[in-house]
Amino acid sequence: MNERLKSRPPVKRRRRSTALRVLKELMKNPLSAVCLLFVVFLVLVIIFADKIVPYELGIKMNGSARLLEPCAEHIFGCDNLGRDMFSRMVHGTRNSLSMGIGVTAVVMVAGTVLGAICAYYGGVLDMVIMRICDLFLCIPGILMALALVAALGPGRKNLLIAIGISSIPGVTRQFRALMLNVISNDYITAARAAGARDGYIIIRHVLPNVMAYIVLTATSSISGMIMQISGLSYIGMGIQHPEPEWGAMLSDARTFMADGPHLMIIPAVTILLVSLAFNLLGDALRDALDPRLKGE
Amino acid sequence: MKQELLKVTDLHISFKAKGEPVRAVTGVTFSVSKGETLGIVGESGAGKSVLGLSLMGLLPENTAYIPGGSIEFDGTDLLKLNKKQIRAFRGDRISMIFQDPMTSLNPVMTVGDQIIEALRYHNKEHLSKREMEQRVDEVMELVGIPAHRKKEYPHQFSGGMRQRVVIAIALVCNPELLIADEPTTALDVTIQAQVLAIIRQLQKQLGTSMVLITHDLGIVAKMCDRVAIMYAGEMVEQGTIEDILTGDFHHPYTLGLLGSIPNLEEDTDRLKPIPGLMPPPNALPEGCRFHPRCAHCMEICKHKAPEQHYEHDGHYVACHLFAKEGQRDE
Amino acid sequence: MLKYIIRRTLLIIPILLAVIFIVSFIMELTPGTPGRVLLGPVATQEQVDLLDQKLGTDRPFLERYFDYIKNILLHFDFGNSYRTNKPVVKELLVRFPYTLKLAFAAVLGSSLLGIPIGVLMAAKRNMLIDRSVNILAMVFAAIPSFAMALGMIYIFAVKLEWFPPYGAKTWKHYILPMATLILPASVGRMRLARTTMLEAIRQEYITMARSKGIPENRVIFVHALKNSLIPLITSILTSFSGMLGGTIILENIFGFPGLGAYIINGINTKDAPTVLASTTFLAAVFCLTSLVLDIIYALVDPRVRERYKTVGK
Repeated sequence: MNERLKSRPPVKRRRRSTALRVLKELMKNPLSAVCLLFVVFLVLVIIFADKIVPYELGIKMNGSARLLEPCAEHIFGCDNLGRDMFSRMVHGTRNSLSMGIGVTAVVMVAGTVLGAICAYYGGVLDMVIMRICDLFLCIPGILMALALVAALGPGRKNLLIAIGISSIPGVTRQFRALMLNVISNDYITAARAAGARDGYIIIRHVLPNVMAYIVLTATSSISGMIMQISGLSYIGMGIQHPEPEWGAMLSDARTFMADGPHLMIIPAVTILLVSLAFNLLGDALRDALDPRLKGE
Repeated sequence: MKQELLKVTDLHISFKAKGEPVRAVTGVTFSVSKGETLGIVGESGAGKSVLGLSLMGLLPENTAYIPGGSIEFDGTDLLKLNKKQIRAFRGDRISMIFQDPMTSLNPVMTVGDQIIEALRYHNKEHLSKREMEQRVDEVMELVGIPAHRKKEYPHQFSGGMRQRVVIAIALVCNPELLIADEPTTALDVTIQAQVLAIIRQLQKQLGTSMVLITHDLGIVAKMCDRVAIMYAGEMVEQGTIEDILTGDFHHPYTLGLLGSIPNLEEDTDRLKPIPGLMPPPNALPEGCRFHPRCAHCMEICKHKAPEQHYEHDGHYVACHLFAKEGQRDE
Repeated sequence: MLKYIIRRTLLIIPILLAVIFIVSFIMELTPGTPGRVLLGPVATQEQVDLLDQKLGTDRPFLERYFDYIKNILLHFDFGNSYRTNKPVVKELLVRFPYTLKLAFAAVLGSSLLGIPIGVLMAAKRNMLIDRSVNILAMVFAAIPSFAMALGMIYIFAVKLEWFPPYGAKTWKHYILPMATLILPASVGRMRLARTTMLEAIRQEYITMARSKGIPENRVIFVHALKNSLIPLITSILTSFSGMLGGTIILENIFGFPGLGAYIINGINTKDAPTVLASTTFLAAVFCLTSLVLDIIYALVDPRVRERYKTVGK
C-alpha cells in the first residue's frame, strides 16, 4: 500500500516533467532541434524588431534605390518604391507571425472552451452549438473570412476576428469529439460520483488529458493561419499599405517579377521556411508526446 | 509407424529489432502424422502463434526471418520453396483457422465470396463455376450455416457463426493439414463447445491432420492425440495425451500448468499458479529458461540449457532433473 | 435507402436558408449602403437615398431576407447584380464552369496521380521513395497556394515562356493553375493512400486472405484496397469542395474568369446579390458533395448500408 502511494508522484510535478521530457526529446533529434531554435529566433525577431532595424527604413520611399538588388547596405535589396527589404521583412515578421500565433491562440482557446462545454454538458446546448458549427462549415472558410473582412473592414483586429470565426467551428468539432472520449472514461464518472464540481472536473481531469493534443493542434495550425493571413493580405483584404506583411509584399512583387525577382523570392522563401519549421515541430511534438503515432 | 505428414526439425524463428535480433522460437522439433491432432500448449508469448504462422509461410516479411531448421510437409521442405510455390500449398493442402472471427473476416465481402476464393485459385479438380458454388453450399451446411446466407456480410453473423465461416473457408479445399490458432479463445464458453465439436467431427470425417495451438489444457484433453508444451520459444515436453495428463514424469513447467487447472474432485480453495512471469524473448535467462520460476531449480540449471534427458516411447522431457534417473530405463 | 437520400436532400434546404441568412447578415454589417458604394463618395446623400430606394435596400433587414427567399423559391430569382444590373444567376452560370473545370481537373488529376502511387508505396515499402514523398509533402504543405502560383508564373511564364500567365482562352491557360492545384494535392493523396493501405494491410483479415494461398495482387488490390476506399473517397470528395474554395485566390492571380474572381469582385463592390448567390451556390455544392459521400459509403460498406435501412424505416 505504502509503496503504491510512493510510486505516484503528485500531479503537478508529473506535468512539469512531461514538458521537460518533451523538450529533451525535441532537442535530441537534430532536425526538430533546428526547427525549435528557428522558432525561438523568430520570436526574438518579433520582440526586438525595432532594435534590429528601424521601422522607418521599410516605410520611407527612396526613388534612387528602386528595385535595388541585395548589396552590403541593403542586404535584402530594396523594393519597387526603394524601401529597404530587410526592414520590411523584419517588421513583416512582426505582422505575419505574431498575427498567426495570436489567431491560433484565440482559435484554440475558443475551440477548447466551446468543445468542453458541448462535450461535458451535452443536451440542447451541445446540439445548438454543433448545428451552428455545421452551418459555418458549409461555407468555404476562406470565403467566410473574405466576407467578414469585407463587412468589418480591413485591419489587424478584424482580420483576427474573421479568420477566428471561420476556423473556430472546425476546431470546436474536433476538440469536442476528443473530450467526449475522455469524459466517457470511468474516472470522470468516479469524480462526479465523488461530488466534484463541474469546473473542477473539467480543469483537473478533462483538460490535462487533452492538453497535449491541443498543443499539438496549435503548433500544426500556425502555418495554416499564417498562410490565411498572407492570402487575405495578398488580395488586399488583410494588413493594409504601407505596413509590411509577407503576403502583401508578394502581391507588390508580382508586377516586378521580371525586374526584381528578389522581391518575390525573399518573402516566399521566408513563408516556406517558417511554415516548414512549425509543421516539422508539430510532427516532432506528436512523436515526443505519443510515441505510438510515430512513423505514420 | 504411422505416416508422417508434417515434420519440423530444429526450427528457429527470429525478429529483427534494434540491437540484437529477438529469438521468438529456438530449436523446435516435432511431427504430425496423418489424421493426428497435435496440441501445442503454452502461455501467451511462448511463440506458439509465430510457429503457426511459420508453418503457413505467413510470417511478416519485413521483420521476421528463419535462421535455421526445416519444415517438411509430405516430403517437401516448405522453407526451400519460393513464394509462388508455397502459395500453391497454402489454403489448399494446409490451411489455417484464426483466433478472432471478429477481425479475421473481410468486412466488405460476402461470406460466400470469401469461402469460394481459395477454391477458385486452387481448383485442382477443375470444377465449373456452378460446381464451385455447390461446393461452397456443401461446406457451409457441413459447418452448420444455412447455405442461403452466403450472400450476407460478416457483420450480419454472430461470433460463433463467424467462426464457422472461418472454418468453412479453411476446409473448402479439403486440406490435409489444418492449423488452428486458439480457434475458440474469442468465443463464449457455450459456443466454444459447439465450435470444437464441429472441428472434431469434420476432422474425423475428412481425415485431416491438425495442429491445435492453445493455452487451454481442457481443450487439449478433449481434442488432441499428442501434446507439445512450449515455454519461451522452446519445447519443454512432448508426448501422447496420456503421457502428459496421466504419466509420472513431467517437466516442472508442465506440472505447473496442470496444477493451475481447478480439480473438481479435490476440495481446494486455491489454484496453484506458477510463480513469476515468462521472460520476454529479448531477455531470456541463461541456462534453462524456466529456472527462475522452477521449484526444483538446481545449480546446473542456471548455466546449462537442458537437452532432452527423458525419452520414453515418444515422450520427451527437456529437464536436468532427468539427467540420471530418467535415461532410458532399460 | 431511397428514403434516406430524400430525407438528406430535404435537409439541405434549411441549411441553405441559414447560410443565406448568415451571409446576408454579414453583408449587412458592411459599412455604407449599396447606393453609396455604387455612386461613390462624390454623390449627394439624396442621390444615394434615391438609388437605395430603387434597389429596395432601404427596407428593414428581415423584410428583405424573406423577400429574397420568396423570390428564390417562387421564381428561382437570386436578384440582379447591383453593378451590372443583370440577373446574378445568369452571370453565375457563365462563371461557374471555369471554376468547376479547374476544381474537377485538379481533383481528378491529383487522384489519378496520387492514389496509384500511394497504393504501390504501401505494397512495395521502399524507404527511399517513402522518405522523398514525405519531404515533398512537407514542402508543398508549407507553400501557400498563391506563392506557389507566383513561382509557377515566374518560372514557366516569365522565364521559360512556355505558358501564358494570365487569362483562360486556350488550354495552355489552364496548365499553370491546374498544376498549382494538382501538385500539392497529389502528394498529399499519395501519403493518405499509403497510410490507409498500410492500415488495411495490417488487419487480420489480410493474413487470413493470404492464408488462402491467393495471389498477393488480389490480397492487395481486392481485400485491402476495398477496405481503404472509404477514407480515400472521403478525401477525394472533401477535397473537391476544398478546391472550389481554394480556387478563389488562385483565380485572382491567374486572371481566371471563374467564380472566385467573381466573388472577390462582388465583395469589394458590396454587390450583395452576387456574393449571396455565389456563396449559396458553393454551400449547395458542398452539401450535395457530402450527400454523394454518404451514398458512396453505403455502396462500399455493407455495414453502413444496413444502418441506413434501419434509419429509413
